[in-house]
Amino acid sequence: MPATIARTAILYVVVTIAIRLMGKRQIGDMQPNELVITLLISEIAAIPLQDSNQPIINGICAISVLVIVEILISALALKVPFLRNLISGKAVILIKDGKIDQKAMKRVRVTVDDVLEMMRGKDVFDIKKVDFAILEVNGELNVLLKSENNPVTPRDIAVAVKQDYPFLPLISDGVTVKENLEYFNLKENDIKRIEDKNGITRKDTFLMLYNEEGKCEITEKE
Amino acid sequence: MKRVITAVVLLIFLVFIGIYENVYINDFCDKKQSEIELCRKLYEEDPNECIKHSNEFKTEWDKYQNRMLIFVNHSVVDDISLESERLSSYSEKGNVVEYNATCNVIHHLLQVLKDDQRITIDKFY
Repeated sequence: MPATIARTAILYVVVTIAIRLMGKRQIGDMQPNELVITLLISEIAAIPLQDSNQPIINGICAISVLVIVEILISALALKVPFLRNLISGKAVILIKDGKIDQKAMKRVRVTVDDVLEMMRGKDVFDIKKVDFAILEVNGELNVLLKSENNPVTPRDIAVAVKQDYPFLPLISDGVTVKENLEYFNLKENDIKRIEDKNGITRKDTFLMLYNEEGKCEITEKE
Repeated sequence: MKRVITAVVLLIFLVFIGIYENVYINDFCDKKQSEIELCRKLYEEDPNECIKHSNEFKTEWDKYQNRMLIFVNHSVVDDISLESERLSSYSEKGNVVEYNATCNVIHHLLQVLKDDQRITIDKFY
């Protein structure tokens, strides 16, 4: 039993490091080869856990080899477009100027129901409104509406709008976020100054948001 | 680029581990196989010396088997441990057939460990 716990913990660390080394993509955004590698890693990690006769180093070596191959191939694919197309495939245009390309659909084995479903997922219910729809290599459909069907933007009606600046946390859960402090060129004293201005102390601050305009929003601890 | 460097370092590390494993297991199994051959020979020529060697084999195997467990299937290591126990007892009270059979099993299991290290076509399918 203790051996199983130790082996599981070791493999957890190894698999986590392996996935981190491979990159930050979410499951849905994975390229086909990344998905295969991820599935393989989970399968391989399970073998030494199920069979205590298997040396754990076998699993670690196999996972390491998969990660190495994945990193080297993706690095090579950046330089060699042919390899990139071979591994990940190419995006396919399914709708052009409001018309479905049936040959392309057959080639990628997607039914018209699939296309309509994916379009509805993008809030598009009429093919005629679509200028261009492309099926990406990760299976996602991206849709560009015809100009006349695009929502009106302030630019279209020549209205001047004020630029919005995003708020970033300076204090999160009572702890200073140093990288954001550096991003805004602030120091700890500046936080203290803001807290004094708002009549609040550090131990009462749960969240402090700040933006480039110098606006600050504070949430107090409950 | 950092990832590629990490991958290359990891690859070099794996190659070194592979080479170390291969050399270590081959050397250790060769040594143990020759010891087993010696025990088999001594059984008829010098029984006292045979008991001594058989016990030494068992002691040394018990000492080094933990290192073997890092690299090879634990069931094979366990089988050799069991057979080395038999070898030690048969050297004192067993007959020649039982003793030789145990020697053969140990020799074969050591050969299995050595063969596992070799890259051959049949391992690809």
